[in-house]
Amino acid sequence: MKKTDTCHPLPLLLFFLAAVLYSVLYTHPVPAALSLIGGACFLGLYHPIPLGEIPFYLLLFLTVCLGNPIFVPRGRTVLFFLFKIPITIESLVAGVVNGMLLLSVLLWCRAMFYALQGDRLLYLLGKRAPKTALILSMTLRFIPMLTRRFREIRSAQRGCGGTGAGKIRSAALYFGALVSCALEDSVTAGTSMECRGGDLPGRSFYAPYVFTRRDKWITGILMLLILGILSLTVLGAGSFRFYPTLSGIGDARLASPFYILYGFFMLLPSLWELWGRIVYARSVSRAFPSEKEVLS
Amino acid sequence: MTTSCFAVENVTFTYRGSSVPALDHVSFTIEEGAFVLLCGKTGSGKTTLLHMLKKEMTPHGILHGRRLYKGKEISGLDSRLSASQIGYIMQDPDSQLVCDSVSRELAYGLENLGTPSDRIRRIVAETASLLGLSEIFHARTDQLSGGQKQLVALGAVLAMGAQVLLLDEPCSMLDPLAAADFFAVLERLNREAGITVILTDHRLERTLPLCSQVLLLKEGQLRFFGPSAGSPAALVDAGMAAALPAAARIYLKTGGTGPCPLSVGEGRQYLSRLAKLEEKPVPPDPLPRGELVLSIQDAWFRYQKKGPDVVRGLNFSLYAGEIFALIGTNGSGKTTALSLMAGLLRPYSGRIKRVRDTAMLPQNTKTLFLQDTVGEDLRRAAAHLGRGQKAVEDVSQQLGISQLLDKNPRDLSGGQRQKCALCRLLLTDAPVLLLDEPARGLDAPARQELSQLLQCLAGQGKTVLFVTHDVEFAAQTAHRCGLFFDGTVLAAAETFSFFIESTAYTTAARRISRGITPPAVTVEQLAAFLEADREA
Repeated sequence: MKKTDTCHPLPLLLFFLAAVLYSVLYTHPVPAALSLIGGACFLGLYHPIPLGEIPFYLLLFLTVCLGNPIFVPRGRTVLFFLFKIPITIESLVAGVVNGMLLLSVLLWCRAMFYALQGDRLLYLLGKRAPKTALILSMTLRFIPMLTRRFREIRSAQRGCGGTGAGKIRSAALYFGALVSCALEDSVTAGTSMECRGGDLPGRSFYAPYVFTRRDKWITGILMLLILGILSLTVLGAGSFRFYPTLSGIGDARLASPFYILYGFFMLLPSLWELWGRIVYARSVSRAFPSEKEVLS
Repeated sequence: MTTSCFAVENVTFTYRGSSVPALDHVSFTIEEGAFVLLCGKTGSGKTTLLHMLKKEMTPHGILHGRRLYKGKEISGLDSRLSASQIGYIMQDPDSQLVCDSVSRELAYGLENLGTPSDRIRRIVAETASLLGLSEIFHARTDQLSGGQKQLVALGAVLAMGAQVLLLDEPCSMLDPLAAADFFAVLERLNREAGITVILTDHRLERTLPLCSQVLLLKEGQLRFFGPSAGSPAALVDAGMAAALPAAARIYLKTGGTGPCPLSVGEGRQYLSRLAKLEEKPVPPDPLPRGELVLSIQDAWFRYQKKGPDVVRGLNFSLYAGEIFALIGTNGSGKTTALSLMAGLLRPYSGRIKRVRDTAMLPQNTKTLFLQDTVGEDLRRAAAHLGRGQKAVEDVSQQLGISQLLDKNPRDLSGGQRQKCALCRLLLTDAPVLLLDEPARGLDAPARQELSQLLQCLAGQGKTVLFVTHDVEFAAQTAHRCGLFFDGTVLAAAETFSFFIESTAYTTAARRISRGITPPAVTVEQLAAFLEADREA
């Protein structure tokens, strides 16, 4: 089990919301890079995205990087002319920062999707809106069922000579059959719900998570970091000017603690996940020594 | 004295819009802790009766008489009490589950009752460990097998505190092993927790030895209510002889005296008292073989790139005019093998030679019908397959479904729908028919009819291959059988020698008679031996 999965959904939600919001908030090369590194590390450790999707992300990044200097001809330091369009260093840096921002938001959203799916999502909804949570749970069950039914219907038809209609017309026919299947299924499901008291008033919500002392600590640390970063921002850290010329990285007295806090915040889940792995590996090697160790 | 759980007094029920009562002056009392098998032919009113015992399921119509649950009128029961104490489990494992994960499904009923979260946690945990669901506790419900789904459905009502379980053919969609597991759980709940169980099932050979009482309905009237050992005669009177367990059928065929055997063990005892025949091996007559219609050489198939091989080095040949039964458990890859033969899937290695055209009947025949009436579907199919409307008439007449053409395919019974689906298949005029679990969910008369139909089709020159986990149906129908295991066909042989050689995958008649009489696979063969013995 992943270390992140042992955490209560509430601090998880708090972290991911803050990470996404911060990533959008700071159009600044250093926070953008930190957020991107944090997101990529965490996703790599927690739920690696398929290799085939990496080119898509790179392409997106490159498009934004190069698109900005081509379409936004601002800035003073002209590097060269591309078809009479002045390409400036300011515009290029802004493009890179925007690309990193976009990428980091995508990565964090994806991590949030993986970390808060299924039961955890229901839990977050369920406390406020038990009925919505139930509907969501039913929908989550319905989608794979309908997909499977659709495949069944299609192969049933192909198995005995097809429908004789074209591709689109056939798909419409399959869809019609799918709808009547779904209606029939939902009648049964409705009866099954009624039999189990689905229409009784005063529905409660089953929350399979306990907010432990550790979760309190985690939430506390997260709150401190979030507030710390916010207050430094209010004091003036974290702003950056691209045009007409690039501003400096910032006032060192204010900027260094800001970068450290921000970097720590963004790398926190990766560090935690990594720490969990090390602890696990060590405890396992002690509890179950390898064959070689036993023999020696 | 035990208290009565259900008391039904003189209940007559007529569905709205019908003139014939579905239940006709039915009276009985079921004690607490009883295990009752409710049986009767299709349309005898057994499902209606089961619905009468649950307030939420009571159909619309005219009802006379009284229905009492622990002394209280069922229609006036408190909704909370009715929902929690009387659990109802349906036939279809797929659509009666509501939530996406097993844990949520188990908690669903308790949430409805307003139970606090901490208590739900505990009850759900206890239920999961009682039913052995701990392994799949966090699993998604759509990834479970049929047997696991039914266990989850059972757990969901038990968690609510069910004291009575009403089950409507809970295992008709499961393979025999999963069904046996499910019934074992039911028996344990009945024995150890004193839960009253009332169930309907059309496969009496597995439920009759299990239950303590039998309640038999015929045309809405109560024909028998008493201990299961006394039920066979009444069941025969009600025209259900074919559904009886093999042991009881042998007992009845030999005009037995004393208590009627129901299980295989009892059957063996009965037979060894009756017969002292020697087991002589009988060489089977080799069947004449037609031309090769389909052959598979070393086929391998997997669904996902990195997934496991589902079909592994399959070698198989099918000959014209034969009926071949492919036997194996659920999830062994039988359906995949069938889809390969039908050309719906392609192996990544190996060769499949389809000398003749094939048509495949899917497991869920509902998926075959796209229109609102059966006739419309068949006519459209005939039109695009280049066959005239005459073909629809001919084929539907041959299968005896002419009167069903105006009906919606969803309103048909299992047996009727199976025949309509076969009709759709025959319209393709393909000489090779591949059938996926054609006997699943059918009652004894419908299975009998299907078996005769397939034999008739083979007589007309069709080649039939069907996949099944029903050994009795295979023994009755097929010329050749093969065991599907580990992605390949093992031990393909003539039906008789296949079942004689098998140790686990064999018919009840064989299990009863092994070592006692000369080899016999069906009850009819066994009865013939005994008859010859008595004459000699």
